[in-house]
Amino acid sequence: MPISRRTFVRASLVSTTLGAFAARSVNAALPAAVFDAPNPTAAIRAAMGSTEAVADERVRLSIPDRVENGDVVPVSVTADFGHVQRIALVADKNPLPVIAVFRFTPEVEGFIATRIRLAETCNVMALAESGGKLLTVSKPVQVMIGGCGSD
Amino acid sequence: MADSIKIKTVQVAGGIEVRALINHPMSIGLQGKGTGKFVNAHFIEEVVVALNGKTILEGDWSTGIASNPYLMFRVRGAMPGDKLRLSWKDNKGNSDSQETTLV
Repeated sequence: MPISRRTFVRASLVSTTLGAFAARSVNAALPAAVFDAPNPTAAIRAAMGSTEAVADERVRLSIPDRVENGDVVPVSVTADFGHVQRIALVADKNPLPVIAVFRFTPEVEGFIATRIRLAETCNVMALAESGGKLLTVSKPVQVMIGGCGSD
Repeated sequence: MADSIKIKTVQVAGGIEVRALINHPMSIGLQGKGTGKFVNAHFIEEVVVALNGKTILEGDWSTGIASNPYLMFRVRGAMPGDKLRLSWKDNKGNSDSQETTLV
């Protein structure tokens, strides 16, 4: 059966759409919108679904006030308000402001420690989500040598 | 190649503390002329931790995580004999996973 142009176009459209959908569903990484976001607020919205975070001392951020080298900055976040479902780390001056989003089941405490890159002196923000509430804390960090010039 | 992951677990009150170190460049790539967009980045985009086969922690990462990523977290009520598996997948389709039995 000869394939008409219209059928071909329709078929290829369907397969591309399905292909994109399949790629998204196996890929649990940060959505592309996080990487394409024009500013930190848009990036947070893309990552967390909301930017309406309330500053709250039940979220604690431990990070040096001043670092020599932004390449490796130790950071930990403790969120102490019930079952914390998600913790996000954001640096407002990084080329990609959303550093990571961690998702937890109730077996895991609302705590995470890791090492991040900071491009320059900035505000580092931690957001924690529990029961639909988004709480946040932020701290300024002075960076002597940025962490985005080298590999 | 389970060589890229090192996992240490320590008993703490109410559970265990897990410290993991992953060997990975987490390269930020190069900034393209004009666009300012980074190209050719090579980074872990997903980390999954499972306890006895059940996913308990997932990390969605960007290049903001430092190279050779370090991760520490605490699992409530984990018992000796439980199996903890950590897996990662990067944006170039590489992956690795490592399982450890809690003592």
